[in-house]
Amino acid sequence: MIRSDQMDRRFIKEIMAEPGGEHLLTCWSCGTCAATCLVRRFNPAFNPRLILHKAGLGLREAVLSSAEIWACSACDACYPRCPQGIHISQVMRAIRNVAIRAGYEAPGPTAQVDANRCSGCGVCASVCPYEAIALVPQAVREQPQKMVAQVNRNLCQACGLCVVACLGSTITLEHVNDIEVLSRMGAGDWLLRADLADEEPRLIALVCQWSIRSERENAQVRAMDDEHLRVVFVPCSGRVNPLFIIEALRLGADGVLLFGCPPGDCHYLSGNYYARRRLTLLRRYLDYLGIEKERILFFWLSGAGVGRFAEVVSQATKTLRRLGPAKRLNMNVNAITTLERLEEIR
Amino acid sequence: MTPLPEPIALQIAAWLASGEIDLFIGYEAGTVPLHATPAFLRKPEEVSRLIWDATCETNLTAYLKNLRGKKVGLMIKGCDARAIVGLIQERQWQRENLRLVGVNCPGVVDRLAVARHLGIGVEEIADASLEGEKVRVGEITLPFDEVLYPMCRDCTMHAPILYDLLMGPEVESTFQGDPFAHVREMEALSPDERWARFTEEIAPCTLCLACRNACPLCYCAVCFVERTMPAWFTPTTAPEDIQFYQIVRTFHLAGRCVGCGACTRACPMGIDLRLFLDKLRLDTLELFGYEAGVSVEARPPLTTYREEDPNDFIL
Repeated sequence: MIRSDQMDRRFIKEIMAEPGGEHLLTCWSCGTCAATCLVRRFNPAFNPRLILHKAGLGLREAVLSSAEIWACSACDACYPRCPQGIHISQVMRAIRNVAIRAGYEAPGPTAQVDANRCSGCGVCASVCPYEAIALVPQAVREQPQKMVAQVNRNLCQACGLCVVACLGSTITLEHVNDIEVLSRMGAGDWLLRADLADEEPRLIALVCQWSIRSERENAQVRAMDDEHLRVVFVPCSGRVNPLFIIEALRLGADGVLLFGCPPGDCHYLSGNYYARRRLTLLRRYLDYLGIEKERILFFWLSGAGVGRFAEVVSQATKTLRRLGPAKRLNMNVNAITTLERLEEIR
Repeated sequence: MTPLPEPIALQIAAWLASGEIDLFIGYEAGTVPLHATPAFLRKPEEVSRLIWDATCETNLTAYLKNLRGKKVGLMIKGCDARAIVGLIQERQWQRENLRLVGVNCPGVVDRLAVARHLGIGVEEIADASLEGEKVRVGEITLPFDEVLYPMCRDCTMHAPILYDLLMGPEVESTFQGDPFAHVREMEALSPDERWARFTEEIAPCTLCLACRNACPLCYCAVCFVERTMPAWFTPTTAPEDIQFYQIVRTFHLAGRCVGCGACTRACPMGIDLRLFLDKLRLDTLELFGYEAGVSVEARPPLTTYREEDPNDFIL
């Protein structure tokens, strides 16, 4: 129940005075934004319509203390669909600015910096799409004024672009850390299993969690995870560390597929562009060393092509069937050769 | 063994005396034939120890990783200067904390090449010295050009691009060919041949990590090699572990390697690491039009993007 004494007109004015907050009261509460919102797949409590509605009623306490106002990652999927043309992510930002001034903090998760190990190179700050990282002087061990990266938890959206950019692994993302991704890739030692009589290629698919837009396809993709395909969701194709791909080949995968959003569609604004550059180099480099580039494939997925994932996987399987099992870098194959060599010596 | 020109030595002494720098790193005569030793000077009267000649091969900028926060002077060759650019670009050093004595470098002597010419082991070289344009070992003299490091023979950056003082006569680059010829040669092979080339080249690796330690840009506080949680790397000399180490170390230098060749010169097993690093340098140049170590203002290729970046391989 909403009581009129909780409705604070000054709160509405405060939001509307923020850049981007002007359109708060033009919202009709039709809910198209909530229907479009991709964040809701992972955070069903997040409802942009409800937040705008409550803010429009001036419910200061209810809005500012809710964890959901921090959840919008400004992908702007809702913006073109709003019949009132409200730039909802901008309104969200205006609300957050008011919250920050009132002393509220985002609940996280956020990227975390180990100040002891940070070299202060600033590569994280230059790739962060939310300008959430700044270099600040901090007393670290013998250095009183060491420049280290600092994450602003109110701006960080935990996309993990900084985690990959940092070569010293100084920044981590607790909920999708490297160990977690690696163990999901190899869990159950599925690649070691020798009981698969067929010579079917075994693939690891690293999938941006936002790139599959339709719920139906999302369910299909999850169902496709079997003894020949391991689907590992990551926050963004930009979160894919090149080491994941090398490690996948080492674990014994015959191919690695990376799925991201097409240019201009990245949920975190620019993650796919960084992923594209890194992948271009890695692919060409591994090919140069004799690891066929057909084993590392990158695909754009978009809402426009439902069912494309399955199509792409069967296509890749065909290519890899032709190439045969991956032996290079494969630790299992190498371990067997070492054993054989030992036998010979004996 | 040539002492530094007097005005240069005096200036270094003045820097040390005034406290403008805490430390000067140069070269001094060492005990290994044809190899100058890095010299670390803290007092102005020590400058007489400093020398410069074609045995001064070490890239001294690699020592800077342990000296952050101090004021340091050092001698830099053309290639070393590019590493300084990289370090400034990556905010490891500020230009005002460095005093740079640039050297126009005609190339440095490869002891392995000398040994190869004489048909002896590198540790058997004794009684050797530089005599003008020649290298003398015992009774035999070898022409300078034949015992240079391969990267010095292909060098197009004899002059440092930044310095406070410059010494040595200007060296004209005689190299006219393609600096990436060795890369293109490997590119032309079949995948099986390339894999064989790669694995054979790195087979002698003992994981001594000299390449990493000699690299001025390998400055991470905890390298992926030592990392736990996750432990990416199992430090055994099994071929797959060596392959993994070499692939990841070189890839961590993608868009950052300035091509100074310090790693290749440091390798005690004579592995040509440039063959792999130069592929990454060639690709960053071809794909993103970026050359590392040339401009302090430029954005390294993996920290930026363009919407029209190569996209054709994405399906």
